[in-house]
Amino acid sequence: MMIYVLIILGLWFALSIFIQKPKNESLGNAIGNTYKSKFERLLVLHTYFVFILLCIAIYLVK
Amino acid sequence: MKWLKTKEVRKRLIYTLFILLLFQLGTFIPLPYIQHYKQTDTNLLLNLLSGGTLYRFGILMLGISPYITSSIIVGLLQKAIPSWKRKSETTDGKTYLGQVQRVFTLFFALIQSYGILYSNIGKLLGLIIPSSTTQKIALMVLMSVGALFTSYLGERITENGVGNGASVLIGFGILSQIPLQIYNIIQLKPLYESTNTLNEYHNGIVILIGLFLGLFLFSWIVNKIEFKYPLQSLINDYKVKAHYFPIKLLASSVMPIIFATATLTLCNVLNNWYGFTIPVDYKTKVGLILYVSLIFIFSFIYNYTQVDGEELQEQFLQSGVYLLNLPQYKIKKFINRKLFIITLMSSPILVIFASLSIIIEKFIPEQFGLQLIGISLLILVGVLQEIIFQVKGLTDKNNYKEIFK
Repeated sequence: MMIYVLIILGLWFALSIFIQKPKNESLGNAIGNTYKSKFERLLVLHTYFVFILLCIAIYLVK
Repeated sequence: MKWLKTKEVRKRLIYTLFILLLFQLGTFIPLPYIQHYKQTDTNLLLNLLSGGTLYRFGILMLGISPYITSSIIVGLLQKAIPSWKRKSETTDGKTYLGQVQRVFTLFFALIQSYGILYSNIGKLLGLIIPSSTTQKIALMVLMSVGALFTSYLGERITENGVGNGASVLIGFGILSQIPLQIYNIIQLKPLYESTNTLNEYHNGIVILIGLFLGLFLFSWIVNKIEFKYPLQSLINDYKVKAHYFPIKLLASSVMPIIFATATLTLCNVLNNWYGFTIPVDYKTKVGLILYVSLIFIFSFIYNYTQVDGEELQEQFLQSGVYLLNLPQYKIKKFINRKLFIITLMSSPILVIFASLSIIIEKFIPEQFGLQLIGISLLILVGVLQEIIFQVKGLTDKNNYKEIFK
């Protein structure tokens, strides 16, 4: 059972990264630092949240 | 210490350190179902390229190397596919190419993890791999998302921190291994004492310190050299002294070495996986020739991608600037010719650094495990200079604001 949880969490984690659009340097410098929507922040937090879930799952399997 | 007082610089430096810490912590999260029975040689090129994570067998063991491989592929495809080239010129297009690069990262991470699990690379690394297919699939997913996460962390450094994320991660990997290597060398002392060859040990250490300082200084100087071509303005019609068009001697920095190493690593996976016989060992003559040729090829590819003569000529035309004593229509030819000569000069320097491993073996005992000192130091210095350059730029940018207040 746990192995499927690991695979699903892994895929979820990959998806959480893909739904965030990569920012290019020039745009990052121009507006990236001054403007950041709440939704974007939420997506970043979501990625770290899934990573923690993944770590817990790995710990349980170990 | 103006930079320390600048808020943005402080914020960016702290952010970079935070991400690096997160990355280091991540490397200690062990992979499930897998065991290792021996300490892997940290002197592997793949280890250097992953950011020093390979031998920890954690979820981030593939490190940043799949991302680098994918950035080579996407960079080359941009030259080959016209629609991608057009995309690389717009903001939306760049975002699209960034996503494509992530897909490629995942793809290469899957290939590498498959290689580790299904070929004898795993055995070389000293891993006991489970026989169950489901467990292998889970491991492949975990390793690949680990690599994706590392590249994501790299992107965040590029965006919010200082320096280019991928090279900062590699540089930090090299830096974090220095204490371990010093410890290893100290541990070797009793061995030399028992065989009455303490002299050899001391000589090795003296040469090592000299070599380290010498190489550090040399790569620092080489990284600083740039050729300046004076510019003249059409509007003012006189030479503006402060205006130069600069081309750095190492315009491509250490990227050709990183790319050549990444290509060899990929070839190594193919060797182990499909049974190819590409001579990837740079310690052999054929392997070294291949490595050197790859460095030359990538130097040219990278330099010509970075400095585009045709684009420069257009930009110069639009802004009414031209190079001193040179008609505007000749700018493209002039830049391309200069770039060719500069690349021809810089490639041998990169080759010297890359092939130092072979020369070093004659002076420093092999047990010291410092075969990659040349490449490592060049990468480290390159990354350090990049960070210093950006910090200086940010400090200036933020202090200019005060003028307008």
